[in-house]
Amino acid sequence: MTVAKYTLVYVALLVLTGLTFGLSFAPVGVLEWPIALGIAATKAALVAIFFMHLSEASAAHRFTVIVAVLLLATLILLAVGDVLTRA
Amino acid sequence: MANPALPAERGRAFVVQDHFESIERQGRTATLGMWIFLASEILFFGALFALYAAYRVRSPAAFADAVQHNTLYFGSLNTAVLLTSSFLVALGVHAVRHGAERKATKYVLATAVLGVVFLSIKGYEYVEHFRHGIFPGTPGHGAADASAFWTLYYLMTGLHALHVTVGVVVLFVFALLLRSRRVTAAAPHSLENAALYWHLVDIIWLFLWPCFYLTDGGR
Repeated sequence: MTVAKYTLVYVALLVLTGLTFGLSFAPVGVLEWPIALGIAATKAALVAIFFMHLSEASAAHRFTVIVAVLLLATLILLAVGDVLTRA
Repeated sequence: MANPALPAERGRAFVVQDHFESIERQGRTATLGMWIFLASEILFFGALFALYAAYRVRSPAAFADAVQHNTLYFGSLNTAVLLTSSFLVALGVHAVRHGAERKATKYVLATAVLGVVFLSIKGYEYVEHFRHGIFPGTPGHGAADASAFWTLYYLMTGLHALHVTVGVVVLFVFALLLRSRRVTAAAPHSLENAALYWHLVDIIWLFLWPCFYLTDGGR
């Protein structure tokens, strides 16, 4: 990782931030959440892979965060599914 | 075993312990420990995000309406502040790895200062909400369902602000350790791990921002 690469990632993060901000004004209707979460997840991935050096880290380091994210996704999906399927 | 009589070892904040072959091995283990801690933090905050998701799905209109009572510009400014701070601390770690401790000190200090800026903006927002009668457990100016939104808002952003505060203190301590050369290129892992914690605090905010500022159902 060079300073140039870090700067590139930072600029990408700012661009994505501007994009989410702009899109929050657009009439996207039901796409609002997928767009917002998708961009947020992309930014988080950029921070994790490049700023947090997951790209250089060992498999053990990556495993911990993958497991945490999978468990969290399960929790959210099931909690939301529960509420949505109530009478 | 590190010999404290040697000039290089004297005053070093983190020296290799007996049960590790080398400082690199020790550093990698410490980093794994930090990642496991971060995973637990993801689950900790994640439980609150799951609550938010469940309540939001139950009362989408009340939540979307309540989002409009947050100032989008403050939230967005805070996003930019934290992203910049992540960038700066990453540059700080890069500087230490390449032996530029003086530059690293400045980067880490700047990161801590941005953390204080974030907390100031957040604090101002809270004060403004209180002035408008929006408290935890109250529906603010919306339907009764909105009370879940505001409770979650104060709970999640408050918990996050607590984490930011801890991070700021840790970063100020590291700025001092760097300045006195107690953290150096020979053992940068402690700073790297502190930076990992800071990046996670930034990532959590990246998800708090859409939840509480962006998703107002179209303006």
